[in-house]
Amino acid sequence: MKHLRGIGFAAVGITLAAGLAACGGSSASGASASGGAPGVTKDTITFGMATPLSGPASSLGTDGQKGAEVFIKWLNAKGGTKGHKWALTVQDSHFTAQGHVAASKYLIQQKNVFATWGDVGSTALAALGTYNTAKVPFLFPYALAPQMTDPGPDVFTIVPPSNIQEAAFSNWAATSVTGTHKFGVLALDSADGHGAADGFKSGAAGKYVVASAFYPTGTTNWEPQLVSLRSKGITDLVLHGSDSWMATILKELQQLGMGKVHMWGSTGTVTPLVFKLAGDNLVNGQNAVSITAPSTDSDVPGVKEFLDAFAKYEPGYKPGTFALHSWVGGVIIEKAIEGISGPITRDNLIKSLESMSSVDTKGITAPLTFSSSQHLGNRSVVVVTATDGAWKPSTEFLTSSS
Amino acid sequence: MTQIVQLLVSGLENGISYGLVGLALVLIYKTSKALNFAQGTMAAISGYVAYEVIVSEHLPWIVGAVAGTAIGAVLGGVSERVAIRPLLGAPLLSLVIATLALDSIFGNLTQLAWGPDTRALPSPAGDGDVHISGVSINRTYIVIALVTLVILLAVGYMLTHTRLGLAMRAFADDQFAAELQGIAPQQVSRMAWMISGAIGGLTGILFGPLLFVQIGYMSPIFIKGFTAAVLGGFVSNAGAVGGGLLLGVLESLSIKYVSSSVAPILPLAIILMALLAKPNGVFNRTLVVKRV
Repeated sequence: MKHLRGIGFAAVGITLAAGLAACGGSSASGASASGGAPGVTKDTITFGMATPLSGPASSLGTDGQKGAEVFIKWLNAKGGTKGHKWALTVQDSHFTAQGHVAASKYLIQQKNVFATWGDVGSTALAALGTYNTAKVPFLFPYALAPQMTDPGPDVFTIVPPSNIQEAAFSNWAATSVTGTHKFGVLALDSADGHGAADGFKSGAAGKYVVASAFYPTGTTNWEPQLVSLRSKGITDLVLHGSDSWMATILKELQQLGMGKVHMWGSTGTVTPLVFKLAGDNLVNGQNAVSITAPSTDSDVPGVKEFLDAFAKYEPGYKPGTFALHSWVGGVIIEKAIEGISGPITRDNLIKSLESMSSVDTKGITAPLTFSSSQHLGNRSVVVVTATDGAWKPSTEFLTSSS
Repeated sequence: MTQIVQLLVSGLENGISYGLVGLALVLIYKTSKALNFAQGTMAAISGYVAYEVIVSEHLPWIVGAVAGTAIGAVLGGVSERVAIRPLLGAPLLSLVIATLALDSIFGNLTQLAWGPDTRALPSPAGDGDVHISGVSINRTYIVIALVTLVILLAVGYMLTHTRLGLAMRAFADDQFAAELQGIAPQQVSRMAWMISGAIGGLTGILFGPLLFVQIGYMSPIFIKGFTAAVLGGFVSNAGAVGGGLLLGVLESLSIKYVSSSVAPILPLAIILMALLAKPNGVFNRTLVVKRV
């Protein structure tokens, strides 16, 4: 019986080894059906997306997913890129670091995607190593953490980290305010929250900052922080947070007799939802910073094209910031693939991206430039003002020197 | 002085939500010896139902509240029948896993039914605040405080003046002896879960206007409600509410006078200290009888 047991162990060991070999593969083991690059067949390029589809952040991830899907439908209707239609496979990251890594590994190892695109959330940071190790292009995640200024050889982003955004915002704020102003900063107690606070303080309006307060994830009532800031006599509030949080905070400011405090919101607040939740009266007149033109501003040619595509392929759905971000990511990837001379491979995609300069997104973003030493293609923001129930740009794109 | 009073008021506003959730958790624990980790998602479903009735169907707020609360009771009853009753008498770990599974199921069902969008539920008190000597109190929180008081009194009356309440107390004291007296464990357990589900549902509806009805909106309150229940020793209803209020005030004061980074760890630190110092609950007057 002992020899049978030994055969059994050997069989298990061989099976395990074969399984590990299959799981640990990267691009070498992921050849496509046609023998070309992983995720590329003779007529299709398959992209992946790991994004929150469940839980509290699902509205962001779902919005981003729809932006990518509508772009793909729009592009495929035009014939695709270089004779290839695009396909997308999406995995739920659950908005956790572990979930993002697991979803990314699944996309790379099981689905052999050509590249991933448009992941939402700073949980994407946890997956950076996975992509760089597997040498799979990780394109345009929406992550605000300061680490994204130098994301790695296979990662490209157009979202300036929160510190860069807020520095540009601060420089503009200093030129737009008159008289005596006392700024308070209210930010999420996280890497990008502290980055946002530091960024604003490093800008020209930093000299007006009299107090900062941070709030943990899961906060449902900001009154303690606002009372603390009120004691400093603030006239302006720089908020790093989401649209629903901004809506709650605007109401709490009213309640605490701080209704005249002017709000300076972050990128996450520039959505139509804040008007729906807080009411136009509370939001109109406030300012915020955004990396793209507002997703509802059809005066911008690129946004009009985006909205027209949604009207055709997702009628009834009101796309937001994350959908627009995925869309413009698609625009960039399309141009990059068109710029490849030779076969469509991951290395050629990266080389093409690195050679792109002053990429025109039809006004959605400032012109974008990538290089081999700079995978953050955008350091510009636009300041928007809430006007008549919608966000409207108040400036051209402003570039931060941070 | 006004600032400190405002901070106390803000803390009490938060604390009421923790206390209500804690109360619902205590009710279940006393009868089923189960920790209901699905309390947050069940409360959220009630909020969504209330939204559909009040906003989508344009019916009065009270109708939406009744509908949502009733759904909460139904969810409690279904949960008890499907996941808890088969495990009555099983180790606590089994019951915990069962409620965790329910939490996941309810959360996913919510998303399937209503999608990821955020919804604004109107307040029963309208928008606006009450100002007293420079201190402002959100009118919605005043309604919540009054409802909490009514619930506390109603639950207290039920437990002391009704047959069901007597049965629940007997069951909580000694399940075996209660059964010998002819008290049906299934009925007691079912009613406890339904009442707890209703209380949780009403909490979800009352806080919908403040937190906005969205996926997981009651989850942050759940862990703090758990802390409130611990402070009540998981046996005292008033202790749970008192514990919630204490936690809310401590959070509010710590943000101003210590650090905002302290706030997230405060509930867990309190649980640990309470369990070490007074395992039967800070607000529980039950004596521990030592075996000689």
